[in-house]
Amino acid sequence: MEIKDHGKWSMYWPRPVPSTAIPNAAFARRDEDDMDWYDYIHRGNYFKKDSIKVTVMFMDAFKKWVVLVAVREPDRIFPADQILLEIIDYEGDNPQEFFGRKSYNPETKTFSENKEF
Amino acid sequence: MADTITPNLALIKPEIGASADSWGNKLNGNFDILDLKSVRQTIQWTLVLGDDNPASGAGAFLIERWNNAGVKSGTPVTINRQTGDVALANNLTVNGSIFTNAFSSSSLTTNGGPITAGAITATTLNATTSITTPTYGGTNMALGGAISSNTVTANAITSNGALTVAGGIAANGALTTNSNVTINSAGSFGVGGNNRVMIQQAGDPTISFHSVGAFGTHFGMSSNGNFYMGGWSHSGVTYQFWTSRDFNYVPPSTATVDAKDNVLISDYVNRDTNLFNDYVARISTAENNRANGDTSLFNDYNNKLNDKISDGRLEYAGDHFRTQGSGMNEPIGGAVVTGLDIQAPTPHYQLRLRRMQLYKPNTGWFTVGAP
Repeated sequence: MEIKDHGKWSMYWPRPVPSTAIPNAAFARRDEDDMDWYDYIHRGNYFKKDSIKVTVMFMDAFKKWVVLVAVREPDRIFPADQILLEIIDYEGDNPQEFFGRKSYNPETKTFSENKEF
Repeated sequence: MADTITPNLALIKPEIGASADSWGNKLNGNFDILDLKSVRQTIQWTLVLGDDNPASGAGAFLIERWNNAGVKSGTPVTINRQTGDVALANNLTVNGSIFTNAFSSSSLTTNGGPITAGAITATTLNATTSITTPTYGGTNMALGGAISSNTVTANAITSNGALTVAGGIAANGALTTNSNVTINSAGSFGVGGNNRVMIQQAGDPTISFHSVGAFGTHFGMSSNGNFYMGGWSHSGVTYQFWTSRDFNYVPPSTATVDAKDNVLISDYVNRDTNLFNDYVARISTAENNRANGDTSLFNDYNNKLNDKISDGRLEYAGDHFRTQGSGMNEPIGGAVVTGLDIQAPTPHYQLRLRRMQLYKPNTGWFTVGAP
């Protein structure tokens, strides 16, 4: 499975709020380079067409990174406090059903076979 | 053989070989009779006394006239041998009275005397005084006096006097009178002061309304000056109309209210129209500029239009797992819980979380959640 790591993202509050945004928008930026999430999806071209965008969050209950959302459209997700992954070669019809609630190992870049809950 | 007499004119036909001393007188007498009775044609007139055929279906009596050139110019009088009817081809002027059981003419004009007839049929009837006939059928009738008839049928009747009709009047055109119309002597319909239409009747002048087969009622004014309607289908009950004469109250003028409303409504309509026209003009200007290569105004309007939020959704943000007693926290900031499952034996909670997203056409989807 070909996985591209788009990094860890965190919530932040830009000042001033960009005029292009809605007044009460939530903002996220990538930890490694402060890339704004909306610039990433609205103006950038960082994803392959029809690839699966997966967000994983660390859950204390399992002490693991667990998949929250798996969709094709990047604007359906908001990766604050999550790691954003891109699955290039998934061809199934229901990525949420396939990836959702599975754990993810950032070291090995692999997903568990079973869901965590 | 004695003398004989001709059957029609009683001319003496002398006996042959006799009347040696009297034939001259007899012959002169015959000439006198012929001269007296048999002058049937002059250079101006000709009398045609039938066709001398007793079994003939024709045989009319004719009076023919001849003009100065010796040419027959008409037959003023014709008497039908079978019916006896007299037909006049030209005008008939009568200075006295005419008495007839039936009269038919293209034009009848009296010079002052009355007309009394059994029935009158005429295209034009002009009578300076009265006409008495059981039936009149004609095109036009002009009366100087009264008309008394059981039936009058005419395209136009002009009367300067009273028109009394015992039966019905059916008029396809206007009924014009210069005086009142008397209705069965019970009342009158005419013109009051200041040219007002007036219904006049002793007691309570009343008019009636009748929806045939359904309802009938009367409407009129009582001698006390109040108006009532009722009776007939109202089973004898009358209802009074109450007016400001009876109440000390003057309702507000609807004209004033309407005028105010109209001002307000028209004001709002004008405002809306002006605003709409202003927008149309601005858009038109922007489109014209763009057509001429200046897209700045068009882009400005387009950006403003697309800068508005036009859509929204609660997007799936993931499922979360919590154990009992692990403390309160918000695993995904700004998200809302839309689903919950509590599982045993060790109680734990499975939460479904969603984030609100709003859409701006200019840029795209944004996630709501700023503190």
